[in-house]
Amino acid sequence: MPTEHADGPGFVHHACLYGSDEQFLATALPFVRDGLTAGEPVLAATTPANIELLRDALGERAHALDTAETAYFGRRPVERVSAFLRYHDRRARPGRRMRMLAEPVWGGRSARQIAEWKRMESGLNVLLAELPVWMICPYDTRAVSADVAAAACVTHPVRMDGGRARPCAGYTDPLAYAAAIGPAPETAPATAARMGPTADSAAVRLFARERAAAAGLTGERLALAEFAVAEAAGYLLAADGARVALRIWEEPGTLACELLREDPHGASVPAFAGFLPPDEAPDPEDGLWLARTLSETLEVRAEGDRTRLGLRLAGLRDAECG
Amino acid sequence: MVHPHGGRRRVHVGDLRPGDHACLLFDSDEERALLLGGFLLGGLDAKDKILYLAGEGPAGHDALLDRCRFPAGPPDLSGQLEIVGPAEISSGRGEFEPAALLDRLRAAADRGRREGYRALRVAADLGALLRDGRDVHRLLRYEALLAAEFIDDEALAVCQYDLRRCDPAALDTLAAAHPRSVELDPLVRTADLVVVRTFRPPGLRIEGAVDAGSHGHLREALQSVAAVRGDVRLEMSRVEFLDLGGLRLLMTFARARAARHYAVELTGLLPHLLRVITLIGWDRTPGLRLGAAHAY
Repeated sequence: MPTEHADGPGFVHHACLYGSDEQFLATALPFVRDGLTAGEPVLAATTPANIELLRDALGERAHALDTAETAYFGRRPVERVSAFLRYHDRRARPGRRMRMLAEPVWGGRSARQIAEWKRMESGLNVLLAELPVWMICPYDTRAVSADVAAAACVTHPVRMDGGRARPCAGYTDPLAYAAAIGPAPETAPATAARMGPTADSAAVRLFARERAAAAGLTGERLALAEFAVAEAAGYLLAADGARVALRIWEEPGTLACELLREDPHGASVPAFAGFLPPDEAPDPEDGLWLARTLSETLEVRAEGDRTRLGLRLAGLRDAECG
Repeated sequence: MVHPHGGRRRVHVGDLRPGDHACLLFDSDEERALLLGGFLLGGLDAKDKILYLAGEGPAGHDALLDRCRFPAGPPDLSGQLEIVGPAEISSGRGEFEPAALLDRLRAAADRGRREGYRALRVAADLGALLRDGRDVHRLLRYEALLAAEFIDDEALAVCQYDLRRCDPAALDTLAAAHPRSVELDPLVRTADLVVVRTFRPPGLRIEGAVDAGSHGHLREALQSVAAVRGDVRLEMSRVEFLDLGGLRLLMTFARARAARHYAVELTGLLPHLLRVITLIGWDRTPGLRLGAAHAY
């Protein structure tokens, strides 16, 4: 869990709700300026307008500020976490904390995407807990819904207003929050193609390939769809004696895939499984990270004695991946 | 299936059957020794009469067996193996006589049949006849005769040519006279995965699918080239599936090689594998070189 105070050793995660440029600068400017003065790496991953505000206010010091247009700094939560870690690995200095202003883009997102970003905001408290990073996440109350603004105070232990830090009364344990947030994975329609349950990972993979090909995917996209399903199935099948059932069906724009594992021993799935990219040492969740990264969305749910894993892969009509 | 390496189909030395006429173009003594060893052991298993045509080099039983690398020690081939030395291959005038050599092979085949052997297995090391462009036409004549009049259901042949010592144009012509090329038996041969040791440059050719069930096989195959001094190439254009765990094995191998200042080159990777390697950041793995990708 993150420390509440910025002088602690680990990850510090603050929200900043602002309703005007002045309010944004009231929090962001001292945060950035103090970091630069202390010789810390400072990243502002926010909107181009906010980056401009900060640069203007910093004057000459703006040359030392690292910036990223937030919409491109990890398009999806799993990529966002990788982007944070990559920045950290690139810029970390021994014994020194670093600072990040990290403003997600909430506008125009689907309900499923918003749930996933909220889940990630909460999950950062767990995923980055050991990292010597002080992160402030600005939320523009002129642009975000009341629901998203309220969630900021549930997913961050502390909020900043100007230079003042106040604990968030509604802050919720990330594991409990993640389990409760967002729509449950959609279950397969009766028309879905089905196979299993089976312990044969190659059979699962080949079935997924066949269905993806039948949905019109070819070449690299077909291979990546096969890869994503194979790695997701591999994660479930790593449990002793596990068998998975596979359901695949087409939705507009996506190829939906559901993997079901009956868990007689109630094996639980970590709420933030597969959000951290592979490291030098192998980790059982590496395959899930890859499946997440290659899917449009990936939802893992423990449902009593069953694990349900839902992937949505970019379909033939997804022009972005064409 | 269309073979990516031209018209000549490859055959593993352990899969050679009567009727096969295959060539081995080698530039590594290790490859030749391992292949010859496999050829002799294959003859032992199949109860074939073995004829070694020694254009140069070891003309004695023991010297020939010493040249091969038998993991379990040299086999007992007494009576089964005959060696035809340089003096018998060329006539008294020092010229190579294809028809005379064919007669010699026929006599050996007859003898072998009488002795109860299944077939005649010929290993030919006639590259020395190509030095200075000498005898190319006679050698071609011999290969043509061998193919047309000798190789049948009761004979098979492997013709070895040393790339380091023969004229490339002559070799191309000679190689074309063989319907097949021969290579070592795979290090791994399962229903889904085949891994073959390669020598130009040293490395492995990986074919098929690598998943959780075959990581152990891939690890062992990589281990078999761990001692190679110099860079290693892994040829992957016939890899149909390679999971994350398999990719990790390749990265671990590259890092270990980098510690000895050698590189590992992956060639023929499918584009999606290159993409995954880059997504994870493994493209920056020390010692790893990513060669040209392969089209789907």
